Amino acid sequence: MVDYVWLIPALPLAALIIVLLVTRPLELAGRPRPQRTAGDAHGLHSVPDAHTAPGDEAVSHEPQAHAEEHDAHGGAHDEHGGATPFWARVGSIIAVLAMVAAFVISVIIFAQFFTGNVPGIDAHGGKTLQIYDWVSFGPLKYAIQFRVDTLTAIMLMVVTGVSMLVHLYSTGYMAGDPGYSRFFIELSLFTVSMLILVLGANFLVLFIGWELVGLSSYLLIGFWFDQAPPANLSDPDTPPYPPPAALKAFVTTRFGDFGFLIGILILFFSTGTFDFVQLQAATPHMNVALLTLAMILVFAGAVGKSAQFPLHVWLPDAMAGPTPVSALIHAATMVAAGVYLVARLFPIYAGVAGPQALQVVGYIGGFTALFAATIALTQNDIKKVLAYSTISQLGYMFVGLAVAETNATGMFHLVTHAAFKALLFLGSGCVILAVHHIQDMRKMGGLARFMPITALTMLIATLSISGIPPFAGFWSKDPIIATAFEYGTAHGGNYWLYGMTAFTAFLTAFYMFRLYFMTFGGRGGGVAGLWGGRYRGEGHPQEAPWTMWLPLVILAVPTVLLGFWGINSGFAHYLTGETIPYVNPFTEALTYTGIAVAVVGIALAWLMYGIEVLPKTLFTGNPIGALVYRVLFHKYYLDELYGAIIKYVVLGLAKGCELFDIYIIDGLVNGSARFVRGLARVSSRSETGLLQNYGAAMFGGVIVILVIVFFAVGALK
Amino acid sequence: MVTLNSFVVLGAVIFCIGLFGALSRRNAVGILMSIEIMLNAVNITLVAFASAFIHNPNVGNRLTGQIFAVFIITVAAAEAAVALAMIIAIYRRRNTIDVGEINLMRW
Amino acid sequence: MLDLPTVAFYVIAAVLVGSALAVVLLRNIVRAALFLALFFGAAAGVYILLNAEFIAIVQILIYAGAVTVLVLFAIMLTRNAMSANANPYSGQWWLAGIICLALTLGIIYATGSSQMALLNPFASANMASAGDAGGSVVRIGQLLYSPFDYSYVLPFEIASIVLLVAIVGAIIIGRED
Repeated sequence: MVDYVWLIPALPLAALIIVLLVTRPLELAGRPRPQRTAGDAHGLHSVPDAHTAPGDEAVSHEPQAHAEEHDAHGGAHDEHGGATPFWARVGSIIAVLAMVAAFVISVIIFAQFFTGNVPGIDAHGGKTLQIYDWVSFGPLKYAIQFRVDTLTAIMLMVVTGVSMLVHLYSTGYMAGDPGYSRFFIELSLFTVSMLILVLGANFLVLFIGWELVGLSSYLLIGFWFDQAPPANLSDPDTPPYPPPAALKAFVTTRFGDFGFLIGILILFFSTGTFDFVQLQAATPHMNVALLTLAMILVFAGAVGKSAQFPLHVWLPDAMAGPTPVSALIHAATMVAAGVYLVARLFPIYAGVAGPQALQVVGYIGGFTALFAATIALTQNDIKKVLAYSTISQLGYMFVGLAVAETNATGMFHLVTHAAFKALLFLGSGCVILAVHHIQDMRKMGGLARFMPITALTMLIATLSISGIPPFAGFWSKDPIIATAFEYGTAHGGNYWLYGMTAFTAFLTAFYMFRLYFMTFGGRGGGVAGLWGGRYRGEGHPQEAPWTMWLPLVILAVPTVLLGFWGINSGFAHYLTGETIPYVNPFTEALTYTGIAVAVVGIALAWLMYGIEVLPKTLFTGNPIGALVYRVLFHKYYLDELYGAIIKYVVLGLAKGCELFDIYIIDGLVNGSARFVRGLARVSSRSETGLLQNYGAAMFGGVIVILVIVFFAVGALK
Repeated sequence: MVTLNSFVVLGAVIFCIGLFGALSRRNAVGILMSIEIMLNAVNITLVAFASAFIHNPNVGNRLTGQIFAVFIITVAAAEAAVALAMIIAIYRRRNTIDVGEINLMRW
Repeated sequence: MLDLPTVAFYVIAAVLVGSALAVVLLRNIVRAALFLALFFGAAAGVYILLNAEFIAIVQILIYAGAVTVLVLFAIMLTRNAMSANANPYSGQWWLAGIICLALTLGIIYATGSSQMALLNPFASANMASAGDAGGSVVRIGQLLYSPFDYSYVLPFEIASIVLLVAIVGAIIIGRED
């Protein structure tokens, strides 16, 4: 079955093509002509596109004829009124079924690797499959090859699994949206891209996938591109506006991609190959300093894609996209691409390159984890809290990769994080839908009464992310913190990484439970403020349809059970094939301090937001606290800083170059022309037309020749 | 003691006087007269050389200088005729023979 | 040594240079033309001093005779062209003066450093070695026309063609139409 791994990206690709070329044109053809009635706002949901003909390119953003009713918080549809057209439904069902099939194949492949039953496996524990011979021109041989090994198998499971659930969820969430088909096309495009990235056997294929996920992310973030712009774009409390957010995501990751490309090229020019397996063999012969530099540059790409400091600024703004997008791309998969990259190249990072490479990875990860957690404490938008939480957990994954001896520690956290973060995002999507597209948590509260399934699954996920046993988050976070401690001990008492990760665990527990309590709980609720309470919003929230809570329930299962794979280093054994010595965490004092720290965080959140006995201004009442709060709320003013840098440094440099071009280069060119013309004007004065002047010049020449001859024969000295 | 050098110097001085006239006179006929002076200076020099080498057995034709002078006189006369015809033609057209005003070839 | 040739030379040289200067510097063009005639005559005197009688006679005939008349005719025909008060010199006469001075000095320096400069140009009584009793005329005739010895017959014929061309040309250029 491993030989058929190409089916996994092929199935969503086929679904994409069918929806693009068949069902979407049929859907567009079926739309009625526009009714230009004045003042009829709500009736314009199935508003047709007067400009599009059937067969129009689906992924181009055709101008919508009339403004849909867009809430300032996004959401172009009225989920209670508009109906999804028949062909749109058909298209989405095809997409979902394709993803289910892809997931099934991934499971089969994973099972083969899990039981060690892979025919034709090579010495490095995987199989390389040739898909397409791209360039075969003399010494240049580049082929599109897929590499399947244990790492790939688990990533395939994660990507297809979460994508399948998000596809199903989107049939409910995006119902009634005029761009329904386009959404599924772009979702499938993203899935195909991510799969190509994960399956790549060499940097070329990986980079193709890398860029394509960037493109898909841009398209999906800017999905509601014709939404009405908010009044004040730079107020941190307003939800992000899609067009600039999409552009910001693309451009910020571009910075990382620049370093990434340079790193790849350094490796290529030193070793002559892009292939991962060959690189593993060839890099020991490279100059270590150069290799370390190249690996750090490759990590720069991960910094961009995985939203680490300082390129993290795009992820909170990416919340402008629909919530399923946030779940799939910005929680579980695309942002994990950076972690996957480092994990894939881990033998080079750990074995061959200098220690500085992994140190850079670890410290940036640790710092970002802490940094993002501090910002998350203050945010009021539910999706932004989750976004900063994602950034923080990605930092954990990088720390995990940096401090351990295998890539299993970091990867395990990636897998568990995919499960519970996707659950959290999808759950928040249910919540947002229920309260009519309000994302501000201050207007929520006590929702557990109305949405029990959502509340229960989200509670499980919140416990998991806070690191409470026996949930999965504990089993993946604790080894990271413990290994960071050992790393500190081994490196002469350098406990920075341990300190950062441990304190971040406290903050994580606090802000996640703050989120939970503000949304689902509150004073006066059951189970000591955990379940229900005062609802601060308007209207009547209700539970989501089954297409939306079923993925939540399905995701809750790995959130609870996946952690047990970590016992006896089961996951590490699966991933690396080696037997790792296992230390039962419950025998270590460090584990209990970690749990205690998390419990303290939960308790504080409970006191402040659950039963609400402590005032919310506990920390912000005093002037220093208020100042700290303001800095954190404005995300350390980084966006403003970047804006100022671009405005003054980048544009200033551009202006300088422009002036240089105008005055110096053009000046040189025009000046030389002017010089020649002036010279001509002066020289032409010798053309007097008077014969006597010419005669005088001639005899002057005779005298000159006379003098020269005198010198030549030595008559004059 | 008059030597060949005296004659050569004489010829040089007269030549240069004629040259000065040719380059600075404004009247076209004046320029022509100066040119005649120059030609005569050359003649004097040539004849002086001829008679200085008249006793020298190594020189082939000892009167070559004088032959040369004959030809120069011939050509000078012809040239003077043509030049004066031109001056008269120019005078008829432009009513001036001031060479300072005949500058159509100016830039 | 103040013998006759030397004195004669200096006198004739003075006349020569003086009349040349007069031709070049005089404002009145007619007077300049008359000094030109004097110049031609003095040149003939130089030729006689150098034992070149034929050249002297030819000089008088052609230069002092024909060319002077030609020049005077031209002056007569272009009489109104220049006013008597006009500046006879062009604007850059000083440049011409410098050039001429430099050229003079250059030539004098060049010839002064040569050995040949010390030859005596006055022919001795040994004219018999230069030709027969006819003096230089016979010899020049031989050199110009002799069909058997080395002669300059061809240049002579060409010179006659030049004269023909000059005549025709002068007539055509100078005619009124």
